[in-house]
Amino acid sequence: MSANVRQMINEPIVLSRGVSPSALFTLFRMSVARLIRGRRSLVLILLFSLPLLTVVIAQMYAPRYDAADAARNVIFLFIPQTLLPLTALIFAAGMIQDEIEEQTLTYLLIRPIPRWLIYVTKLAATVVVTAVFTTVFTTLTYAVCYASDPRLKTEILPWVPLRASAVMIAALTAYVTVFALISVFTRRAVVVGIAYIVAFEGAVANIEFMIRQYTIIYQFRLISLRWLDIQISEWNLNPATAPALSDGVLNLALTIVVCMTIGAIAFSRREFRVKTPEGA
Amino acid sequence: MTNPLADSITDVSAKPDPGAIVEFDGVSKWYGHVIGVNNLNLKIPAGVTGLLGPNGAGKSTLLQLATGQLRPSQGTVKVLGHRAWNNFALNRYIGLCPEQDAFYEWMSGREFINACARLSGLSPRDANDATARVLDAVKMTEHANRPVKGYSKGMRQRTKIAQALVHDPLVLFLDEPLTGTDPVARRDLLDIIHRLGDEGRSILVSSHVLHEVQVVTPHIVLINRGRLVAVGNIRQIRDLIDNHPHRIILKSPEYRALAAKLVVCEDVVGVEIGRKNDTILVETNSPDRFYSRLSSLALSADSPIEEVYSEDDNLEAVFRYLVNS
Repeated sequence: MSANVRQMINEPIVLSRGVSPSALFTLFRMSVARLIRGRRSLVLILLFSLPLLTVVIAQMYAPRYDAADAARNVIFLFIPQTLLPLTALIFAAGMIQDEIEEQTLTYLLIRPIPRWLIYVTKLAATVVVTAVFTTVFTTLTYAVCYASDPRLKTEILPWVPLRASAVMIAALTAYVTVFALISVFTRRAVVVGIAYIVAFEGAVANIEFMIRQYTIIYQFRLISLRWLDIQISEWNLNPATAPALSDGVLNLALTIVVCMTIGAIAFSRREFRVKTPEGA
Repeated sequence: MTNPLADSITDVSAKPDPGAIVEFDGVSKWYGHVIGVNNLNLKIPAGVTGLLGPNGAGKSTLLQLATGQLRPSQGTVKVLGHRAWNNFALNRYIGLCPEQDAFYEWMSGREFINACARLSGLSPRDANDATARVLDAVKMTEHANRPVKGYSKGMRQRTKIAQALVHDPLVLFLDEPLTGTDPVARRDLLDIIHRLGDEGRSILVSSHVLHEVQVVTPHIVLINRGRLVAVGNIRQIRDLIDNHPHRIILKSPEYRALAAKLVVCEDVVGVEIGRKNDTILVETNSPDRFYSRLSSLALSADSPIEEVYSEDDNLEAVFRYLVNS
């Protein structure tokens, strides 16, 4: 018997509750590497190529092409309504489920890192990856929209795409926390997530009723209206009566904090079986 | 009728050992209506212990309870005197080689082990040193920079053991570490486990093959259907098992040549071609002699052996015998 073990039997070891930043950084790096590999990124590139393609076709065939209109419709209507939640869903749903399905979660759970911190670190990695995708494609979309417009270099780049990306990233982070939370509770996170996007963020958000204020897309529109001065008739947002910018920011922050906290607690308490017993 | 074997094995309800490394106190674990572990009282002392039981006996459940991955439905599990369930700080002192053949496949062996070292809280420099040390210990230095996805089963098992060792844990849990390995890898892995035991580590190694466990420790824990059957010395169990013909499955591309070589051996009582064409089912009444011959057979060019499995029907029969008596 080794001296260590002998000593430990007589005198129980005192456990240190500290967590190494190096361990968290490694977990973050591994999570990013996992997220950007495989078909997921390819699907996302294809999805984000759709608005670009639409703009190119419009430039070629539309009788009267207006760069500002095109940018507004694509960046503030199409992308946030469909691509942002889909991007968040594709990445966040796999954040934990991939580790479970590929049975690698064990390697994380047996390390001296609290489970809630594993969850939060993986969430942070997911937000960073999706934010980078969104920023790159938003900037690219602006560039394509204003491709033959002299304003591209003087008025648009770099701040207009960056400000638009900032609003999108805020909404995206909220979406990621919602879908990650769903993925802790069900294996069918993608199906539930799509239902949520279609029913809640799609239908409810467009009905002029109080409940729409609980949707993420509404907060995105509100912040876009108040901060970027974007007004789109389809949003049904009256600048005279719409809530203040701080309301939108606060609601998104609240969504993020609440979903992240519930997700982290649920992840801490849940058992993850890697092997089903015979007959189960 | 009394069973001399059962009489000779330590009483499972014996007084608690104050030197227990792992303690199960009235532990049950249910998966819905299926029971994984049933009212288990067990103290595992320092040193190497074999956890033996047929497939579905509850070995993996027991190890997952001990490593804090599963919460007991009833009772308490303690490792090194601390609650095991969800106790992240305890993970500094324990290592687990899981049963599942899962990896971050895009990584090289070195990257994977280094990442595990860093996840365990080692600084970058210490992680590099520890990675080099364990790669050397499991004889994987030469292959360390290749992607894990190209590894053979034996190399993957070595890599899994290396990640369990990289943070120098006090207690090591090895879940079926020899499953599906070829005889040469099997011998090497047993040497590694033996050496780790000699170094003074406490190891709980699970297997459904008695002959694997007896090489590394005489102290075994027998479980079946979630219940503790016996704790004690391996010799008595082995004697009983040897009374039953032992069935072993060998996988080889030259299975006919291999069968021809085996059929003339005195201890081999039967050879059948398996349902899959590259396997043969061998029955032997002397497993010790048979296993000792396997390594040399595996190395011969005309009858290479890719994998060895032992059917646990015989072990199941022994368990039934023990439980019924």
